[in-house]
Amino acid sequence: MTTKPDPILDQLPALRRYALALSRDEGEADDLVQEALLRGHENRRSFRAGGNLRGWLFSILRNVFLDRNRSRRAERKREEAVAAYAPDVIEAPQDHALRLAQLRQAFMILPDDQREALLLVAIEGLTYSEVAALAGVPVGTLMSRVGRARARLREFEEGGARPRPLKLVGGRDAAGK
Amino acid sequence: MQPASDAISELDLNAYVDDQLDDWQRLRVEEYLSHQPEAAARVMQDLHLRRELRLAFAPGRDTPGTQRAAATRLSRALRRDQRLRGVIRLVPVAALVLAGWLANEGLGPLSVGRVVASQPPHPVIAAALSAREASIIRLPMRSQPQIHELDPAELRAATGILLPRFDRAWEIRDAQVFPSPQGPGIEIVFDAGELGRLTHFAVRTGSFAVTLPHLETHRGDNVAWFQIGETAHVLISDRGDGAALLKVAENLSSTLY
Repeated sequence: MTTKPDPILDQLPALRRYALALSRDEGEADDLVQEALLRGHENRRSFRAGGNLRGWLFSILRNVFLDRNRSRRAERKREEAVAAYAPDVIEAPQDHALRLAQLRQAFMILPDDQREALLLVAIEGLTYSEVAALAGVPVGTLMSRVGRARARLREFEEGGARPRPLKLVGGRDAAGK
Repeated sequence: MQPASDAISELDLNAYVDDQLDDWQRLRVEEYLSHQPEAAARVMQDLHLRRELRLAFAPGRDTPGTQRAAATRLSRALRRDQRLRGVIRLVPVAALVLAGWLANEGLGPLSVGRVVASQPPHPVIAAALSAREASIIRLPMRSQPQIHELDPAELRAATGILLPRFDRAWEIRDAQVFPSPQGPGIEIVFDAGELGRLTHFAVRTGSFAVTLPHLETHRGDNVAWFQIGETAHVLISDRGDGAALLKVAENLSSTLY
């Protein structure tokens, strides 16, 4: 065991959060991270020394997700998982843990692109341009995704109303790369 | 002073929450918010949501060991590659000389003949001599830090060439990898005490042979070389006597078996 800080180990929690936000399934998220690390090892020549390690890992993870995601079966599985996320009744939050769990649910039923954008910007603290580059969309598009995701979460908070699960027709727009 | 409030948009507020603004832009937004209670409340709410989201996504489960192992393996490999890049620079001069020679001479098997000084040297040796000249000219010009250790495993991973075990007393002055039609070769320059500046040159010959070490003299330098498998090893020294160099070559070749 080394005591030296390991740059990749440091990125693992962020990678796992990203994988979870993409796949919404903990088991699948673990598989995604594992596969991304292996793929990174195979393609490590593509990483420029001194480059942005986190961005590089995130984009590998994203590609792994997109590759796996081309199958309709994964799509269906995720829709079922999302249905399980959506609670039947949202009670008034009694304590903080419960409220966080509900917020997490509200986050998980955001549309794919908004969920990804909000996670990377608000939780991982990437810049707009980093996320836009990662998702392969213009910065303006990315900014409006973040704005829409925020608006939905505010709705969830104010209404206390149950956020409407979206029909995930077609899911992620993989062609928009 | 009237703030330019009208210039603040929804996007600016979002960017403020997302911490994407520089200090001047933040000032402008805060100025605006101080006059706009509703917008300010919304921004506070967004900031609050953001903090809650971060808490909601705090790592709940421990990272699986397989992921940790894969992560460690990846960072090791990256570190190794980086060190390797530090040690190795591609040197076009040596590459051109070598590729030219090999192409020119054809790639027949190395024949073990008596080499008389008047004969032109073997192409591998000629390439080694030229590369050595280039590197000796370059050495004083190097602004890079000196390398003090070589990792044979790394070099082998990068080039597929197995290096002999060098005398630990030798000081490495320079190391390079250069391409050739048969795959990369390695040149390492040592300061080797009595033998003076010693260059070890491992190059692929494109043919399989086992040649025992033997000695030649070219332009006042002693050259000892041997071949094991596809790789020829050429040692060139500018001081010391030939017998000593031949002994070194024999010792080195024995570490390869």
